[in-house]
Amino acid sequence: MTAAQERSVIAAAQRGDDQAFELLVREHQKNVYNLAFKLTGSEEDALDASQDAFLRAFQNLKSFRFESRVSVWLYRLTYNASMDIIKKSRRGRIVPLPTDEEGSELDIPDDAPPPEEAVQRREELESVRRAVLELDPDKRRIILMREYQNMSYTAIAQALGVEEGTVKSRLARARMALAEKLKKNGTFSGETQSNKQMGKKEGRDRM
Amino acid sequence: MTEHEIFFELLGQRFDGTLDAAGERRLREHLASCPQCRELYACLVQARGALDFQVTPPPELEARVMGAVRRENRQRRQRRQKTVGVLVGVASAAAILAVTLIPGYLRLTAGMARDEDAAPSPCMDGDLREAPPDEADDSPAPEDGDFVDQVPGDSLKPDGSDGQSELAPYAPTSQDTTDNPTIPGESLPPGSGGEVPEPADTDLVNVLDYIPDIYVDLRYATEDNFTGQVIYDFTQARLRYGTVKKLMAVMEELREEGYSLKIWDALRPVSAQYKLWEICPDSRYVANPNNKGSTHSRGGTVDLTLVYSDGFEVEMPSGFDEFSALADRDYSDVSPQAGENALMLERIMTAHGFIPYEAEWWHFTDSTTYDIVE
Repeated sequence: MTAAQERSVIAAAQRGDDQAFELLVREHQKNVYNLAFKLTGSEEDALDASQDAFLRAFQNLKSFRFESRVSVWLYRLTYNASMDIIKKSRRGRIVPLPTDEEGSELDIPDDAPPPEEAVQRREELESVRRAVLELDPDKRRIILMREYQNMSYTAIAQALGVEEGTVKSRLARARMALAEKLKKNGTFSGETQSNKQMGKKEGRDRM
Repeated sequence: MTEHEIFFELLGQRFDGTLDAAGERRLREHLASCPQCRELYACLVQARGALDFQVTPPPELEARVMGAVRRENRQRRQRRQKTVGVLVGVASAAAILAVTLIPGYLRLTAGMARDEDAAPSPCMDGDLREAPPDEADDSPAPEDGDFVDQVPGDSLKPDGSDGQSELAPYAPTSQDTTDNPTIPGESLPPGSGGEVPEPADTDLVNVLDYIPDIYVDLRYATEDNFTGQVIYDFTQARLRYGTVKKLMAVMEELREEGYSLKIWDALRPVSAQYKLWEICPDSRYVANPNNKGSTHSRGGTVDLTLVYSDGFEVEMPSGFDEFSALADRDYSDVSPQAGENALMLERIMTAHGFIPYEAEWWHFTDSTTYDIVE
């Protein structure tokens, strides 16, 4: 969808045309759901967060002023909805690691153990997820914009209201902080430990 | 800026593919001399790899979002149009007027529709009486004080319904005699051709076979009912096909608004009614099968609630089979939202030929009466 098409679709949706809004949902659901999944780490939460984000978008459609692309706006709503869900689920389970139930959502029969590769992929995502959630909010936002949403420096600068140079230096510091969290959490190897060993150690309980 | 920070800026450029040769050299030199950054670098590269995947959103995402959006749109319209209420599909002003009169009509019949009081006229047995076709109403404009004949189509004809003819005697019109087929098998609606013959209106069918997106939670097939015991030895919600057709029309409207129905009870054979009565021989709660029994045993009565299209129940005045003052159709004692929802269900069901039971907001009986199923 080009920017001009997007404008007219939004204008129609603002007038209450729910089919126009449906076009927006179709256009953006993949990105919204992916961000929600990478943030919440569960299909169920990702679905809830995506639904919340789109509904909030619909409810606030009238206040959308075309100052940014819809995608950027939707990302912010998705991020907020995901964080709300994470905060809620944290009350129930201290560490939002995938449970057995979530593990079984991998598309494999119950009686067969999940392929090692799939387990490892899930663990790696979980480790990144934990590290990202541990970052302070400013660093987390810029990491999300660049690493999760692949936003351009110009768009990030616009969203944060700073110069592009500032974006780059902030991003460098945020990456550094993220790498330190990752190293501390231990799923990813530096030079000395084998990545595979660490992966197995983390995965023992679930296998 | 520290040396490490500079390293991470260069690293960013490398990730972006914008790092020049001088920068690359500087980055390598730092990596070679700084084990700490080497380790961090390895972690970061792996993390980027871990994020480098795409998942496909499940198909229900769009359905759920659009269901919620349409719900929201409907509530907005309702707020704008409080007095009349929004009843999609009611086309003519006369029909709208008739529907707004229904609550008044119901008050007239209050207390008359209890199962144990049900007294269908002997001349109105189900198998010879079919619901008129669901076509546009061409009845004359309503007049003051005349509640019965104003009702559109088959929406509220008290003929054959539970005891209502006592209060509102029903005078057949010429339309009824011509439109009511006398042979059930001939009442096929248009467009029903095909290899498989459509059931007769009196045939008992599994509702899910004809309305696959309706929700069924037969409480008496489980222990999750007021007796705490399993009453049914079946799990299918069965109703007369004529009744199912009316439910189809209800569902058609609800779907557009992001809603669906959940059936709690449908056909209750007399044998099951006896079982209920054995457990709870109290006619305040269970219709006495030795007396007149339950309209549920005729296959035209259904207990249901409104759910969102994803199956979540909307707020209603009370739970199913809650025998308290909250359960009746006087909604002044429940939350405004619950009352509004129950009223919406009542309006839509009524508009499609169901008679609401005054004492239970979930209980609706087809205005066409059928034979008892033993």
